[in-house]
Amino acid sequence: MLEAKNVIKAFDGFRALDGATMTVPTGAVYGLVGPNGAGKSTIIRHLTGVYRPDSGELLLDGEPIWENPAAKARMAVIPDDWYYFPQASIAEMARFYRGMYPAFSAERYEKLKEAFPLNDRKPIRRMSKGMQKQAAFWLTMSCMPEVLVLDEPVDGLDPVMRRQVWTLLLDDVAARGTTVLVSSHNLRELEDVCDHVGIMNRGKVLLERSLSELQDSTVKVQAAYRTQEEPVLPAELKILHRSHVGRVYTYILRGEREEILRRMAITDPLLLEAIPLTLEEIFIYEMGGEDYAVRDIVL
Amino acid sequence: MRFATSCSKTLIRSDWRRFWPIGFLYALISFFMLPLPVWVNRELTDGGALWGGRRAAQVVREMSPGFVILAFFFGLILAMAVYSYQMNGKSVGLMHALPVSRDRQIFSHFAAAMSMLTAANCLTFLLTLLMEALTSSVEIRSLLVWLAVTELVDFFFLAFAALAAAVTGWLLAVPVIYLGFNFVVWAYWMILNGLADLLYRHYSGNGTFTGSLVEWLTPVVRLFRVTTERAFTVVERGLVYTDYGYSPALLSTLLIYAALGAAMLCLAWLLYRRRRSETAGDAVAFRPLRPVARYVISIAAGLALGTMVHQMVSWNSDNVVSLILWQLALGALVYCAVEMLLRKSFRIFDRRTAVGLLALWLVLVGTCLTMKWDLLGVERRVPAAERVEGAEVYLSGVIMSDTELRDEASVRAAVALHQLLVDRGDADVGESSFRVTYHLSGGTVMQRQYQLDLDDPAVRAAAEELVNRPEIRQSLILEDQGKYGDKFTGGYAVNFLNGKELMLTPDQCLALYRAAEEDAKRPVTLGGSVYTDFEVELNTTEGTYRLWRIRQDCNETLRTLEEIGLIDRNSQAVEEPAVHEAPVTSVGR
Repeated sequence: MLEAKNVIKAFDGFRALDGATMTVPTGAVYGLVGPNGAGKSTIIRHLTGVYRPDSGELLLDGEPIWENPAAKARMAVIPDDWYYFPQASIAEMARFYRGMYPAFSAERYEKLKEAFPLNDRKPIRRMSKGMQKQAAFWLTMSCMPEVLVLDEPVDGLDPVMRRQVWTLLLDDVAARGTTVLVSSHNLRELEDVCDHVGIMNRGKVLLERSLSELQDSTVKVQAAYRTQEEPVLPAELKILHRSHVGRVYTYILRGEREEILRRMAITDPLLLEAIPLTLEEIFIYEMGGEDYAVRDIVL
Repeated sequence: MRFATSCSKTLIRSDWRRFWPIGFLYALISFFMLPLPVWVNRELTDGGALWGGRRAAQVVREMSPGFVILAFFFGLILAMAVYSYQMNGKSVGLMHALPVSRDRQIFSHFAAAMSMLTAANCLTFLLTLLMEALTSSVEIRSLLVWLAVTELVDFFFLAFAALAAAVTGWLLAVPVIYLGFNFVVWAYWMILNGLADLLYRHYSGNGTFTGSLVEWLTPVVRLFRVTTERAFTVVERGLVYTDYGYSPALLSTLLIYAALGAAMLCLAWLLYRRRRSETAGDAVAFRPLRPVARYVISIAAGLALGTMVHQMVSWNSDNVVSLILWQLALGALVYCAVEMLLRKSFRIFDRRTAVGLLALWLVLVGTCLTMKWDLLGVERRVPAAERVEGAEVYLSGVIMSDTELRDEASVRAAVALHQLLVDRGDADVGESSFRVTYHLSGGTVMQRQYQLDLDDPAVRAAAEELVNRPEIRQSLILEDQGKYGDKFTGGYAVNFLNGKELMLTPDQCLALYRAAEEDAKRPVTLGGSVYTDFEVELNTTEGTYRLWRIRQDCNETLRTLEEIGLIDRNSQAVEEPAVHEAPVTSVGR
């Protein structure tokens, strides 16, 4: 289990992390989402032992990560700005990783050659951004980590390679129980692969839940009424968002689906329907409550 | 053992793979500095194995200071290479996410760099040995000494550069900080010495800091000097000859610097542990060090640049107001530049900068006014005779050049004259220049310069007391009279007025020497003229006496010079005491 407990980090007086707390369960694929500047990359750098927190704890299975080579040997990371030695080829970087990570598998490295159509003798700097990302995946997955931390992992990859990478990742999770923490802005993709989600904003993790729990706890309801006038809704309903077109009203509500439908029925609608929410919608409506809504700006 | 277990072989191998060209370049330059000269000098070693070995050893020693310079630069270059990852957010992210502790990282990179230098040194050692073997001049002891000296010097400078790299997150700042660490004391000493020359009356800065704390705190200078070959007089089987070798202080100096290197490496390690990865890209990685950098640089720049520009553009170099204004302006300029670098922004003009500038200006104005008004009593300071370990004096028209005083009573006479001049105030109305240089216990050198008013009976009496000390009187005519004995082998004399040159016989030399001895017995009176424009060298088996100007009251010597046909008192050039200006000299012991 990968944990951050009440982590605070300030840069020149600005609190990039303001008491961030999150838990990535063992074997989970945890999607970390949040607006730009929310602190996702900062907390990832803390969880991988790059940054030292001003206060708080970073733990892997209860052991501190900071300056703990044993814990770090079980983790591998692909940061947003992956670094390789300027003159190195993939093979040379593989040799470096082999010396660093005791679990590095040469066999897996050879197998992954088939998945990534790259020349491992060619200098990495001569490769395109997407190819470099593939190289990062190739090398990182060869390290056989127990915990894989990915910051914007498929950014720059073409659709086929994205699918390839996610398939490899999920196969690894299924076969070895790898714990994956992935930060991305592509919520559509995260929705397909993640079983847990954490939403960050302003240096805090606002909520974290399993995806199914999250989807069950937020409901989109469409109701059609006889008149254009909106009826008075029960006060117990937690409405995140409302809109209407003519006599058809759309509500985003927090709570149990059945309970919400039961309470909404009191308003005597002509039609009442619950529609599943996408992760993107959940994110947008949750962030709307955090003063991060889409604004209608006339240019 | 602890160090060995603190290293990651993978990191060391990686550094070797990436940075071997630097080690190769070091080895290549070393080849041109040692094995090649031994081979090129092979003709000089034809005098047999003994002289061949000596010659080879001399080549090795002659090259040692060069290796100090090489170590100075390559320590910096290698530290910049192996610690370059700290200067970039991406690379520091990779390195610090690795399952290697920061302790192991710093020692591993250091070990990689040091092993490259050691490998190159060992290669140079073997190649030099081969060259010596090929030229039948094997002298393994000197080579082993060279290897040990070079290794220690390499270690010291690499540790120094590792410390410089530990305090910055900006690659280009590493050489600046490294040079700063190496030369900051020397630079401040030079700046303050120059300023004291300008602002203190009678103060005479001399630019010499041999053996002083300033030299110790300027390691490259100290190590260069201590590894420079020295000449020694050796007596062997009744034969006196000159041999060469290292300074006796070499071993102790090297051991001290090696210990300092180890301390700096430990400091770098402690700093590295506390260093935050996010400081990659910052000129100074530790906040508490930022004011130090800001003020050390801007104060030095303000004092040095301000003084320089003031002297270049001001009509009156004694105008302190102009000096201070230039210092304030240029100090502020540099302060702002440093502030911009530290903040990584041009937007620095706020309250904090204003307060900082005010503090800087206070220091600059305070420094200048302290000197100008002599608040520390430097102008009035006269050392106690007991604290003076040695002294040199110069008196225009009488004491030809800075003459060393060995006798305690002579030192007391010099101190008494100095004290009298201080007590008389700073009228500076006299026509003769008097300069005294003290070597004080603790290595301090103090030099003062005055104009003597010989019309003042007390001043004249004190000055005559000094010049009539036997050791001074003896050297007034012939420099170092008595030092080289009287077994003359011949001599040479030239008159610059008429171009006349004479080769002197041993008898003529002896006659001149005896005449000088006779004149030296008579009391010296100050104020007479001096005959000039000739030069005489009297060679003995042990050295050479020189005579190049003589007082008009040295009748015996003048008569002898006329007898040998060198001068004609009626036509010889004469200097009046009034025209003598004290020449600038460096102070040596």
